[in-house]
Amino acid sequence: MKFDLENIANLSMLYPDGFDRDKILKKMESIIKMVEVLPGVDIKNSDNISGNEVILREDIIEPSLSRDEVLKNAPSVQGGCILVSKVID
Amino acid sequence: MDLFKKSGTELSFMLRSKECSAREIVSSIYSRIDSVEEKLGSYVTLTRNMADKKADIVDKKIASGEIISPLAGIPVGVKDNILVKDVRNTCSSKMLENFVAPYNSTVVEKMLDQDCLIIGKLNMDEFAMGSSTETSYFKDTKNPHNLDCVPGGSSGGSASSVAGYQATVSLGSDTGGSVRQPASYCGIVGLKPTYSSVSRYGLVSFASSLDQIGPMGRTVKDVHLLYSAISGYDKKDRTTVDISNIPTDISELKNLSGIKVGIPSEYYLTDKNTDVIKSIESFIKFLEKSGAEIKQVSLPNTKYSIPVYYILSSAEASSNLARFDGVKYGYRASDYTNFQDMYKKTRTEGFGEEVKTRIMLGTYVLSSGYYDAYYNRAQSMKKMMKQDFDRVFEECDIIVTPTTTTTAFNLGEKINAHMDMYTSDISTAAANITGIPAISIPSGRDSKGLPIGVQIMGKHFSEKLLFDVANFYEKSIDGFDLKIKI
Repeated sequence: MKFDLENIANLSMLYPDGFDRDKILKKMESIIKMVEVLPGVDIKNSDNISGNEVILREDIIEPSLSRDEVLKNAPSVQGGCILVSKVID
Repeated sequence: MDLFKKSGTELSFMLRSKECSAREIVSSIYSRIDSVEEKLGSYVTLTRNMADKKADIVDKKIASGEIISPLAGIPVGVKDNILVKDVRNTCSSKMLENFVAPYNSTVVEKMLDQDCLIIGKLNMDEFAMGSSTETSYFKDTKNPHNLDCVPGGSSGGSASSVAGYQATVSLGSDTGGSVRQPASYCGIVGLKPTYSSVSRYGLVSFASSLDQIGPMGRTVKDVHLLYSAISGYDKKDRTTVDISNIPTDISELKNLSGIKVGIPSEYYLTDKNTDVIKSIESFIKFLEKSGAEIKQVSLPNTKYSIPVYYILSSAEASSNLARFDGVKYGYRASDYTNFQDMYKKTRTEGFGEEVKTRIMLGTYVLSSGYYDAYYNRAQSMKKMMKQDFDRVFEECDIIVTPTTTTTAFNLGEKINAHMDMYTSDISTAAANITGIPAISIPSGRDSKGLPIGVQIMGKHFSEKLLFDVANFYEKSIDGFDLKIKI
């Protein structure tokens, strides 16, 4: 199958020009070739096997990190808020 | 006295009997690090002040006659994706080069409660994606048995530091074999615990349904000691369960009679792996001679381990690593035109090639038109593999395989042969996919003198049996042979 580098990089929030194009295409195609065996495997018996149960916690608010602690690692901070560039032009 | 060479259980005994102090242990470990770190490259960050302060606390407790915990005063190295408060946590990535952990992971909190000495943060493959530690943004780590060879990965620093006597024990993380494969390559013991027995709170997520933190050490008892300290229910990780009523203490077995050992016909070994074949065969003979019952078994769906592993882990990684966007923490590109451009530049510049490859693979298998064929099918295969193991465990107590099909390879040898690198998880990934515990112990050496590892897998929460069998073997051969030249 053909790997559409532009589309998948865009969906992954990456720029395709961040790669050696030939190398990454070759690599992705060989990985996809490896995983391509799965669509052919018979899985009709798997519906009867139970999976793991998901246990959710109660939605209770508990103390967490202070604003200062959270902001310590932010790349840009102003007035106690994380600074980013304009979101809406 | 070379305290750095002692095992954790020996050091604990020496501390209690006042044959040495915790401060002396710290000095010994750091002078060892000073002399070999340049060659091995195990550590990303050292935490000497922290270790010194903890050592003083331990020494004061001993002086005042207080009973110390089994891990008190024992030097531990921590993989650089497990948070230690106020210490840099890089995941060996440019993305987190300057990230300082604002809180402790649960496992670190538990170790500090036991007065462990945290020596530093250990090098790894970037975001734990790799099998050789060569995808680290910072440096290569070397195998203490041969400096031209990789230590394995992704917990390469965790393995090389323990094998190179730069830490007594260490923590790694294992998503597809990342504790067991480097343990095997470096001739030490490494455990991938049952999924849900050790909290992942404070472990930087790679593939949440597969990730487990695992202990590594030079002896089975040291690995058991660390496992006992870090395991158990944690309300901060809802996948953990209360295992306090499951015994884990090692029993000193006299023989292995009554233990049924399954040997899967699917070994994935070819005639190229003669040394590994010889080693596993002699290990099986040892088990049989010691009274174990050997049974040939089949795990037919394990042949899909690698594709299932890469689909599930990459899908989860593409979602987990979406948080690295240059906004809240981590690297942010300096030159951008708008918000979207900042996201994309930050991620393109901040992640290395292997991480970007996995994110794209994950995005691809989750994308419209492919989701059912790949992701959903891999989830079904996961259930079928689990059923294979359940069936075998109805007639066997443990399953034995080689940990890896080869021994450590040369640095640079496989970095561009990624399929070879990916398939090196062939024997280990099934334990992550099915959630069962697996331990790797040294079982000999190849013709080049490099360590070979054997893997023992068990039912969910059967760590005690794995420790018992591994400890019995270690005792029978008078301890593992860890002769290194440096």
